[in-house]
Amino acid sequence: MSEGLSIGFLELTGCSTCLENVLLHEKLSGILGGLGSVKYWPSHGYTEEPDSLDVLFVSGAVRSRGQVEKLKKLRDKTRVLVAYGTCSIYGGLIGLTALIDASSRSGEFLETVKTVPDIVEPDILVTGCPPTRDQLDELAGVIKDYLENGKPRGKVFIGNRNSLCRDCPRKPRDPYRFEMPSIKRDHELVEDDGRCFLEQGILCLGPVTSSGCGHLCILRGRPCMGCNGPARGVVDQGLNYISSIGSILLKSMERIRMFDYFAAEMDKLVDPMGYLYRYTLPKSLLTELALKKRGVGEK
Amino acid sequence: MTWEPWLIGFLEKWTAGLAAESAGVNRVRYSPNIVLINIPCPSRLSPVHIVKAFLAGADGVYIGGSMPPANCHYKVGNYKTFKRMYLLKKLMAQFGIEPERLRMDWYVSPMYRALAKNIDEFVETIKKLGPITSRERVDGL
Ligand code: SF4
Ligand code: SF4
Repeated sequence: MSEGLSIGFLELTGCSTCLENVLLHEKLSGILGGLGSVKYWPSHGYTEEPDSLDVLFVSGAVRSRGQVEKLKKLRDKTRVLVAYGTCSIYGGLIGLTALIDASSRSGEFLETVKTVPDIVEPDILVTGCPPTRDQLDELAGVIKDYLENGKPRGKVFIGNRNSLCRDCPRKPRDPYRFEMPSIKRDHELVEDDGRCFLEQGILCLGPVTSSGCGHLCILRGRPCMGCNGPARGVVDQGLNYISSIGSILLKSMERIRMFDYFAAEMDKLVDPMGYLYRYTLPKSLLTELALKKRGVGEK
Repeated sequence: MTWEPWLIGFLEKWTAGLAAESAGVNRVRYSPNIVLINIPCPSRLSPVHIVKAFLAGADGVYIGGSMPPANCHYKVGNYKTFKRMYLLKKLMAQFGIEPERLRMDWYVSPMYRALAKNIDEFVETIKKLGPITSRERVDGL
């Protein structure tokens, strides 16, 4: 069924390394027809825009007006558009520039960082930085279904959307007396005893992050940084996270110490914006508010 | 039309809410720019609720909780509120939103004069800061 398929890759702002994984994955590559069916991939020499595409993979965040135009134009020509990688859905690391107004330097730039779903309607969304093999397996199945059964119906989200904590291998000592004893930077953790990172004082974004990655970092002794985007039911990674930290930080000191004691501990979190929104800043409600305050996008 | 700030306040019903009621009974005046809502405990407020209030056009959000350490009806609700809102203020500052737009005060129920004074002070602060967005004030709000 792969004969005659035409697939395209569009790289917006981002490292776009994740796009390479698509053709390196045997099953997915087999369904798509491998390198032979690539008709459009500007950074790899396939610069000529085809009349129609069966599948288009888009990675990266949207930063310029040209990219908006290009995306809209290609959407009209494409049957199945895949927003691929965290940057394309939540902004990713590039999203950290969401509050820097580059449009004052050149009119070509947007005032903020947009994501692919802000501009066009994708058919499939794959998060992850980069998406894992398991997610690609699932993606292969969905694309096959779409190609065989015609017009896609609605949006499909690839990957498990439960929170990482739900089936995390690290367990707290006693879930009913769960307490975060301090706020440590991760280099300050001298002896990792294998318990939940929060119980050791390390900020782990697991509670608000979806577990499509299969606990990549946590299994390797690193706290989660939130690269897979918000879990189901999480409105805003950062805001929901400080809400959960508020419940557990120094719980046993409540009613013993006064507020300044807690404030001193929380001041150890030096850059909350960078830490809690490392991958999702453009999608934050606070960004929306800050942009509204500046009057961006009200023309 | 001159700009008047529009504020929203959440009061813990067991202490600050009682104080607001006493303020009414004792004919103590406070600024009409604030809309007060009684809730059982402000620790139920997620930072998401606060930011959504700002997005809906509130120029400031006020939280009245119970005086630490031991007045909270639910034992530790005021501590949870403080921790959440303290981190939220830190975040707001980084996003370029004045953290003074979110204010917390702590009460026991007889403090109705303090409540009226604090609210008036808060309204003055917000008047100095100006509107949060460039919106035109909608009549009837
Ligand atoms: S906070 Fe991190 S380490 Fe703890 S249970 Fe959740 S994902 Fe696992
Ligand atoms: S554990 Fe967190 S940071 Fe690591 S891959 Fe998974 S979602 Fe990303």
